[in-house]
Amino acid sequence: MYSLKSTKGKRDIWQKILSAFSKKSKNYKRDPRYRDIVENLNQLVSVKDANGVYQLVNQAMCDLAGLEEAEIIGKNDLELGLFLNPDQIMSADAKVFETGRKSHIPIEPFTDQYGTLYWFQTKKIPLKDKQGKTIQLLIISTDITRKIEMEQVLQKSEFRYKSIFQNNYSGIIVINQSLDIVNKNRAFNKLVCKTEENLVVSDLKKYVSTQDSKDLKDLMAGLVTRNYEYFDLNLELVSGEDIRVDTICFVRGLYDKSGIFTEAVVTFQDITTEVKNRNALEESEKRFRIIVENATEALLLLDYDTMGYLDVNKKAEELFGYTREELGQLKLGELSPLIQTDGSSSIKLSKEYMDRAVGGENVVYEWVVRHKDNRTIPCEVRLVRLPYDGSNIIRTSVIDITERKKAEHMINLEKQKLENTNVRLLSMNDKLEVQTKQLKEFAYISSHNLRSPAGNIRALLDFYNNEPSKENFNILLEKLDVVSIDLLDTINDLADVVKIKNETYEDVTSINLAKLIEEAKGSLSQEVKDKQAVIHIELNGISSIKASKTYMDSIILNLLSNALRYAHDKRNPNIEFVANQDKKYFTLSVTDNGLGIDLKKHGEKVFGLRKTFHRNKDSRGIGLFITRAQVEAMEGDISIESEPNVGTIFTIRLPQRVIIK
Amino acid sequence: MNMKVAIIDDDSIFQFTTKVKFEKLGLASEVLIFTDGEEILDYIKITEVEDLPSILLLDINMPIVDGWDFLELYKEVEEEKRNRMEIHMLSSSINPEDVKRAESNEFVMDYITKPIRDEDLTKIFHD
Repeated sequence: MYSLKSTKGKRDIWQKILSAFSKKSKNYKRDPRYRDIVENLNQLVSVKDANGVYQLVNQAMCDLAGLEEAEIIGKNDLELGLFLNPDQIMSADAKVFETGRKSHIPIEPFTDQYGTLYWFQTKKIPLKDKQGKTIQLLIISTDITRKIEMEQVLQKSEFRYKSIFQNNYSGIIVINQSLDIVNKNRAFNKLVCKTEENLVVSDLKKYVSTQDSKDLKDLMAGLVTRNYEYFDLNLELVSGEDIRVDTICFVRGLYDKSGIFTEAVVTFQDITTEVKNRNALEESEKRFRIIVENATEALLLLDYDTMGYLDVNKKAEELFGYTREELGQLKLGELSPLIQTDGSSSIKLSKEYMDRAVGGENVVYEWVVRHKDNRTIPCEVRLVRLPYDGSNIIRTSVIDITERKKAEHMINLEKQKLENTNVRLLSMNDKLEVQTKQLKEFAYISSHNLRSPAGNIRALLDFYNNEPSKENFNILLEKLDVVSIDLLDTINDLADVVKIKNETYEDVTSINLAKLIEEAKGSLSQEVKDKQAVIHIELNGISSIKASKTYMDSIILNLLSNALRYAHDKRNPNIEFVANQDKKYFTLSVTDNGLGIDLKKHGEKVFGLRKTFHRNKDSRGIGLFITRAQVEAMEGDISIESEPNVGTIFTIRLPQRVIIK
Repeated sequence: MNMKVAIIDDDSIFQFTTKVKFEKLGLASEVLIFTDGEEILDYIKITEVEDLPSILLLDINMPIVDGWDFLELYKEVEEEKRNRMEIHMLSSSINPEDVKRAESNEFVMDYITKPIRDEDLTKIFHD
């Protein structure tokens, strides 16, 4: 193969070929050197006559056609069918013959025997005789298939990039060092002009603020010196009155083969929406912050995993007396006293509540918190788990319920007062009922006790009138004497009872118990002496009590006289006074070793009026009735324990709180 | 008239005047006096059926064993003896509870309010 190193060399060879062809073919054939050259050329070389019939072809042509030289010679293109467009070729050939001027066909398709498409660049050179008439055509075709293919690939690629460039959603521009826009895509148009039409001014500085263009220039300088090859920055694109676009732009330098900066590609990403969203989010956060800050309840965000406080509001600072920063250092439990009012451990209980909150429950409970200055505050706490990814945040809302508690306390006090009043009223009602019953009883008793003597007087008078003799008159007088004494006694007894019933006892004083008992002993000294009674007094340190002097006098005297009156005839009376007291009651019991009484038989009548159980002459059945009335008047009660022939114990019980009626 | 009467009352004036009334009216052959329920019960215990009084005038208000106590204890008395006696309650009490209580007692014939009148006694004996 010949290596054609220079244009000049090329021309020389062609010259020789041409001259060889322009001679008679026998000359050509005679000179085998040229023949070799032509045969071995890569180009397809052929010679046609005026009818388009091949006169000569080289080996490359035969190889491509897949035919022997002899099979081609003597045939035209139509007959050979090598080309897709034989008519066009033949007419082009004819034109050269006609004009006598050579022609250049830059691109011509050719299909080989297997159907493979080749592209050729063809030259048709007229070969003329001495008279200058074109007698033959020299055709030289160069295979440019690869070149065409390459071009096609390149074109495709460029088209692709261009398409990417143009159709990219991001605005892309190419700028030079002085920020002139060299190239731009549709998206950039849209960014700054709101339209795809090309209205863009070719100066980027017009679309950015002075500060931004200064920054950009400074950064570009770094690209030019190749300190770096790319950078990015936030750029606000401004165009006209109403177009403001927040972008992130990415700038990459382009350099030529020798590394010199040529231009830079700038890609813009519109982040207006993101900025808007971010601003909206910030706004919203700010709004919530304000709401949270100004909430009337203390709000604390607790991180369940660390049990520390992540965030608190102003009210929390006020309620607990700690600053925001101090609260941030504290852990769960450090804002409560060690134990709650019910005695349970604060830390244990609050952890339980937190566990429930983390489980998704909305927990509400009353809680005592501890202020920084150690005072405790009753509060209501509400826990809600916040939906945070990956961590357990509990919103703790705390309300000071001191006032509410106070109000509750007041209400409870009032309620208690009302209940007490109610209880008092009920007990007064009970007492009134008892009193009414007693009064009724008293009315019957009075009438009964007065009717007896009256009836007796009537019967005695009947007896005398029936037989008014002297003897009967003396009987009448004698009997009337008894009746009158009985009647007087009865009236006196009733008067005593009425006195207690009606009396408002106002002589509540401090009474010396020992002295009172001694006085009673003194009053009954004759009986004590006669019956050789022994009297013990055990006051258990109670020197004095507050009660009605008149009543206590009468009560003690009555009980002592009772014990003496119903003494056993087989033994000397042994009488014991024992006093006791606790918070609620004062008690005084009088124990004797006397006759005793069968309570199974007489229990309910012991304290009745005119009830006597012994055949003593002086038992009138009035003492215990009066004693009971007096004890009850002081809101106390009296009870009896007794066994016949063993003795009796009377116990009076007075409430410590003596109400003065 | 061969009828035995028992007065059970601690009031000596009542005992006296009532006894005189019986004698005057000639209603009873014998008037027995007891001052409380215990005494009459003891008497009933030791007395033969035919010697028992046929009429008991029972007061309510008495010491030791009063009228009501007596009626309780009277349940223990042999039926033969009880059939022999008629009980009339006498009292100056006008308490309706006493009247009701007396009337509802199986052994009490009637309740008479003191002072007792001649007609009351006549009625007792004629019924």
